[in-house]
Amino acid sequence: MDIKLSTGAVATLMKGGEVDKPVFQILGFKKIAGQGGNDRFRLNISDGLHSHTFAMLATQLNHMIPEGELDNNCIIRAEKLISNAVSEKRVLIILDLTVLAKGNAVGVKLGNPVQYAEQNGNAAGAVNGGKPNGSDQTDTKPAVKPEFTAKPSGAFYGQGKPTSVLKTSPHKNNASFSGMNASDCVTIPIRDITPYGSKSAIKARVTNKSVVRTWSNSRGDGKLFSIDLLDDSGEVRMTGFNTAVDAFYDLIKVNEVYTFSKFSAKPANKQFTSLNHEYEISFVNDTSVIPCMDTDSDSIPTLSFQFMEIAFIESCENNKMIDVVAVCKSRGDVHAFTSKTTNKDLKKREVTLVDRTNTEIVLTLWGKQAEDFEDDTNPVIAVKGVKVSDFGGKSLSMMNSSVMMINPDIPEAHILRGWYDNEGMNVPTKSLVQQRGSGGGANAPWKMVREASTVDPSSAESGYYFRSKVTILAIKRENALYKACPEERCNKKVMDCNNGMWRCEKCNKEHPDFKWRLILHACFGDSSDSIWATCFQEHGELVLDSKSDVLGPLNEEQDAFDGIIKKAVFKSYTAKFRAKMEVYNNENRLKYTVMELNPINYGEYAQKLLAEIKENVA
Amino acid sequence: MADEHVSPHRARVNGAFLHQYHGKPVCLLGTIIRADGGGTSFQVKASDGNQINVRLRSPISEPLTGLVEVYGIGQGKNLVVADSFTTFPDSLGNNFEMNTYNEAVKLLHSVEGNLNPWIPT
Repeated sequence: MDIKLSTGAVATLMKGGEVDKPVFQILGFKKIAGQGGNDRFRLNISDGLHSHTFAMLATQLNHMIPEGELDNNCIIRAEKLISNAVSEKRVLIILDLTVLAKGNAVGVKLGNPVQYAEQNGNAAGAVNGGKPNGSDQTDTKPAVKPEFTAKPSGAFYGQGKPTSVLKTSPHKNNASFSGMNASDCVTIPIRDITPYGSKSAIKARVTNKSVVRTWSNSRGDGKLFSIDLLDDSGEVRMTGFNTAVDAFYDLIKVNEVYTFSKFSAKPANKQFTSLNHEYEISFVNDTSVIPCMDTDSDSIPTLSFQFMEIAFIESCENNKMIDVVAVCKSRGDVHAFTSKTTNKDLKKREVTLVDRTNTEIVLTLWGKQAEDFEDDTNPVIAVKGVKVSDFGGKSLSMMNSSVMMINPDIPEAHILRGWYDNEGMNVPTKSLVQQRGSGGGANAPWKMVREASTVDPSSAESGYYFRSKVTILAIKRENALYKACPEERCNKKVMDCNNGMWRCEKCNKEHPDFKWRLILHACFGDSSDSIWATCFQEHGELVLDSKSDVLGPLNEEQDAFDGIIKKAVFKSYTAKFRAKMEVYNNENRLKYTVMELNPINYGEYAQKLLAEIKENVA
Repeated sequence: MADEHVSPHRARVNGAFLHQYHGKPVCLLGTIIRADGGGTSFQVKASDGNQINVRLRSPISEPLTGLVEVYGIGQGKNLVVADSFTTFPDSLGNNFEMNTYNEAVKLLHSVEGNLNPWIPT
């Protein structure tokens, strides 16, 4: 066989150079499960001088391996290849190749290729499917001493299957920080994290550490925690599960710099983080965490903020995450309550923030952070990633991913301190807090029905409220009544068990009886327009002038019920309506609900009309 | 004949406006101050507080009290010759906001021109 391998091609490519159609021998390959369920093949290629285990076969060529066109020891000419830099190494991707000689024709490994400058030898042996190739063991760079790592995995992409036969003894996930010198690891910038660099290390500052969260589902129990990492190239989120929690949670401190080596990366789930990285990383069995000496950490910036001044929050859209720095003017008490929507017990504390725009806003703290905040010294607070909401006017809310620093050592904080102590505390401020009247009453203006239906209901999160004097034009007779759980506070519809019992899913109980409840759909109109709105129990009973338990049995009797409906229509009321966009199966629908319903108080109404007329005439 | 009774267009008045409708149909709302002997007349306090006499064409058997609305022909400054009237139960009469009503009466008369629908031409 007289085919010459492109000696030196590997070295050139590794140094970032280009080689035209290099000829390589394939020493081995390994199948990997890739992103999106495609198999990928990782190749160990040799140019006779060096071998390189970080070569990937493009998926369009995958078929060549099961078809036997590519096999061990075959010689190929790479027609098209690209290289991606990952830390100091390059991953080669072979996009197109020609087989110059089949493996069995060649029969032997050509030359005596040496593994090209791999930095640690742990996984080297695994490329050849379990047969450790002698030359691969000679590393030129110091390996990460295996003391901190867990059982040797030789893993690709953190998969944890022990295939390598390295002479380390299995250790449990040991977070001892002894011995290792951080500078021995070659680190990559956070910006360069990709799923292809399983042996990368990063040096970063922990800017945020979440609480340990546990879960329990059909597959068992688990726990996790997350940290946000920052270096001068970017930020990334790292999550540790189960054993990693035990090993690392207490040791990792916020605002400290550590070197994290060996982790797995996957596309980021934006739902859980506000950080701006394509990927997020996780602890694996091998992950080691080494604290950095002070000198090393100077290059890592502390938390970076992009502050928005409070006056501008007024025009900020809801659910946006922003950073704010301000003086805490006052703090409320911890308020424990049960959430109406999720039924969870929550604790919150509201603090009032003010800044140099002389505007104040409320920031809500939750849970432990709320309980712990007892500072009455008007500290400067810097918060990162708080959510803007329209609760109570305009307000801010801490999220799980938000970070709060009290009296941080940053220039903005010093300026605020000076401002507040000298003038800020005496200056009257404009507040973005709008006190909500009972049921949003303060915001329920009188409108003609036509006027009200032109207002965009999505402008306020919890709906748009308005009052009107209206007349009932029609009532939907069907399904006005339903059978509900007889328990005091429960109004859930019960299912007929057909054995004389009624089952309530919410209370998880069966009852021998039920109570009748009303959900009345009625059409309300004035001289401008009409709308269909829903009246619940209380208002429904007012409209029909009957209690629901009387109406229930009558439901079946056509005539009697018709009589009641007939008396109810064309009566007038003053009503307060809520207009809200609701989502039903991906569709947006505008729904009106009656919040208050009263017979017309003529004296009051007349006065209102007189006032309006006089105003309009003037 | 009685079936084809058509009401004339009446002006709603209080004491101050009554004299403008001498010999013309008016509607007067007020509270009864006293009934005269014989049941042929009674006195009404109009919405602006003025006292107006109401003379009936046929006598009534029982004395009236409370809120009443009189329909008839205005005579001078303080007399209405009544064709008919409406009484209101105390439940309505006691809560009636006379001030607001008076404001409304004034408002009706404040609209200038021939097109005022509340004032007969």
